[in-house]
Amino acid sequence: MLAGGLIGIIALLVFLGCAICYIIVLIKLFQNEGLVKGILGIICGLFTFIWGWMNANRYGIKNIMMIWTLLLIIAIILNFAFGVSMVPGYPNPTPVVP
Amino acid sequence: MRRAMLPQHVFPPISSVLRDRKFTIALVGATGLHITLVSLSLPSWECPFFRLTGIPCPGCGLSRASILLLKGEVAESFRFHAFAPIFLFAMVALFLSLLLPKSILQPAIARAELTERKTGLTVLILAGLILYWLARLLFLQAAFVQLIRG
Repeated sequence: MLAGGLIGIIALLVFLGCAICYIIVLIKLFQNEGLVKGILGIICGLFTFIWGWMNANRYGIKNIMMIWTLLLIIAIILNFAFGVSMVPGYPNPTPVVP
Repeated sequence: MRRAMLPQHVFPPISSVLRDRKFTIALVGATGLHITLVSLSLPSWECPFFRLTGIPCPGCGLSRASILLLKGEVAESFRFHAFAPIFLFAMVALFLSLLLPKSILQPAIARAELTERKTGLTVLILAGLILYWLARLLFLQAAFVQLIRG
């Protein structure tokens, strides 16, 4: 029970970290590529992620991308090993895929 | 002379992606991997917009709709997302662009850019996608969220 709670807290922190990284990269995408690609970045988070890595050095977001990638790997491991969602309130989630 | 739909300062999305070969390889590879993992019911990329807001994003359901479309389940695919055929077409076009020699690819990209600028096709598709998403949210919200959550 306690371990489950701890994993839930870790999942929540991972979710918050991912969300912050996503928003930072999305803002960079809007600023540098304009509205159309920015909207594409909202529609397809994977697009934002790849764009972030491809332009990490140019826009100085390499650290953000490394943190985001690490958090995503942790999220996938948590999901795979414990079936834990990053969203609180969904005890037995199905991964929400685009 | 006909006025261009896209002003010069706006990047036409498809042709600018096509020009960046590394980006195209990464996008096609990641999308292929993602669709494979989803079709095998394995953990994969999760929508950050949905995770953040609890509201499905305009692209939510596209992967599952594409998989269903590839399996030939057209009606079920449309239930998940009506833009799956366009998405699949774009992905196949991006994949094929990687196989083309430069001598054919460069004029094709130039033509794609001209078409995007003249017709505003990508912007129209994106606008359609946003309208489709808003309609689903306004009129079918509960069913939409339930469908995406699984």
